[in-house]
Amino acid sequence: MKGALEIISPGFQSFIQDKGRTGFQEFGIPICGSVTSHWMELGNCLVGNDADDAGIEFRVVGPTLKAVDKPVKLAVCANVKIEIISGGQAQAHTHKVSGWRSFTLNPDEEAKIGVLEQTVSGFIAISGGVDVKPVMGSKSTYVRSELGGLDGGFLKPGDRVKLGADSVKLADEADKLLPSPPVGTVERVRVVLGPQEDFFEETTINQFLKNYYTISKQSDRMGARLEGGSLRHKKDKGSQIISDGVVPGAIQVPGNGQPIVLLNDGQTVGGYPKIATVISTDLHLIANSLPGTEFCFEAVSAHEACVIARQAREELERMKRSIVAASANGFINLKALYESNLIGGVVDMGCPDHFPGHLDGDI
Amino acid sequence: MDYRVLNLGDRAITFEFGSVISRCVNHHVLGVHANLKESISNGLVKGIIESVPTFRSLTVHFDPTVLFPEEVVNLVAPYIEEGNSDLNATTKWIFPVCYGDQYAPDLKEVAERTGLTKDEVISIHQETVYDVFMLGFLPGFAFMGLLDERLRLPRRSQPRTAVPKGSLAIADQLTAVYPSESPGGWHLIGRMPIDLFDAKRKEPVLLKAGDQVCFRRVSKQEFESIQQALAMGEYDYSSIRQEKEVA
Repeated sequence: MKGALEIISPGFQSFIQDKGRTGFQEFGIPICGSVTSHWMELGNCLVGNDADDAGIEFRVVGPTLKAVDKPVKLAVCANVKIEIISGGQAQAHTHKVSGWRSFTLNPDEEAKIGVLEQTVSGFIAISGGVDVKPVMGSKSTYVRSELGGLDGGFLKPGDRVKLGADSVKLADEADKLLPSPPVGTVERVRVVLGPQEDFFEETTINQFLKNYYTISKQSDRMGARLEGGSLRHKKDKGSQIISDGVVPGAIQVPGNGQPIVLLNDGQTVGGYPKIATVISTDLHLIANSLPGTEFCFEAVSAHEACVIARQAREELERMKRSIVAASANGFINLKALYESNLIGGVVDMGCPDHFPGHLDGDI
Repeated sequence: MDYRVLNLGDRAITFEFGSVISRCVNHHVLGVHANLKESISNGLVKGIIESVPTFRSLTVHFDPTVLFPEEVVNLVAPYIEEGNSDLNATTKWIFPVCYGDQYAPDLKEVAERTGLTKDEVISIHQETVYDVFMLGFLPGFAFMGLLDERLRLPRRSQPRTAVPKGSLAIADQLTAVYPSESPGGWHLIGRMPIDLFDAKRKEPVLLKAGDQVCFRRVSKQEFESIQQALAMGEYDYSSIRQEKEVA
């Protein structure tokens, strides 16, 4: 029998995401996918999954999840407080775990994920991935068209997300942690100018690169509205083009001159001139920053942006290799030790990988 | 054919073939797209992920950790030279539309502003076999044209916050059917009972760029019986679809 995760509380917005849906943009279907795909890869590495396995992305406030029938290994990628509640309501026992490490959630235990402190989104990697049917090659949820994920929508209280075939086997493995989690402070966001930079005077483009912009509250997974100096189009060009292709990161400038950065759920074509496009490496800085975050744009060439993308890929692989067994960090949970003794008879202190349970905090 | 190469960040390039909406330019775009798509699915252009045709340009999405932009330009160039050799099988759709008042909130205004009667608007709209230039805006939303010059009006000054699913709409030189409820500023002149997009259907998207579409007037009664057949899963899609060979 396969295990499941029951949604006790969905937090603010939680849904299934993977790396997204490609190959269908010609039919108007956006890519979607995790807004922090590098975090998704790290999380999957922490729980022993393939890099692109689907998990749960949550926004602002995390969900409370209960393991049903089988143990499951989870890793929350975000700086957020996590409480593990065991023993049922009568004898509830709570202890804390941190983000950026894996832990086992045993049947009937609940993981309560708190409020995000520095970002808009977090990602929960789940051992074995989630057992939902891919739609057009992806499990990513596109809420606006009720596509993918669990019934195409946000997770609701009482929903049960079935887990993949390897879930139980992976749950039995050692907990792991990422020693130096990624930090996402935003000061500058790099862009490639164009494709429609010829709709703007050079002075306007310089202004665009000098201005400070703030991410508006009116931002979602479709796009981030920016507040800052208004950008004027050339008079003879106007503020509309014959619709052409876009990517997440494309910065549209509509008639009011306030830029909009298209994000993962953004449409596949657009009719406003695009002054510049955020490079793939930096897009998460906009997609995942809190409203009110202030930053500057900096122009790089498209070639340079590809070099940056390759360096970021190498850095991500280096981070994956830095992942170590959690117990090697010196945190040993006496409760886990005690339970191991009861179940397994003898615990080899020199081989901490064999501890089940959570190797953190509440001694 | 002359074209401009426009960088769209580090993971796409737009190849632009013109600055107007025209059948000829779009046909070229779709030809390049068809050939490139075949090579992508055969694994012949490693690093290119997909291409998206629009009215007058083709956006080629690529993996920046595999290809540099200049390599993408070199990879795509032969497909542009080759042009639209293989666009010979086209699907033609005949869509039932009801023009009853409750489905056509703007028909009266369109008639008044174009100096035609409502029936003339309907029959002029039905005379044209439309080309699907591109999809976008919403999943399955097909931009079709060209609309007869007598029916061309700018978009509504006050867009609607919710255009009902299935609405047949016109604006400028284009016509479209809304695949799902959405905000929209086009003029609504009828309603189609068949969903252009349905995630649960075996073929979620009915139309593709390059298809042809014409519209057939149906009564409210027939409209409702089609709706009923669709709800029961008994609707025969082959009745609205013709595969035709184009010379």
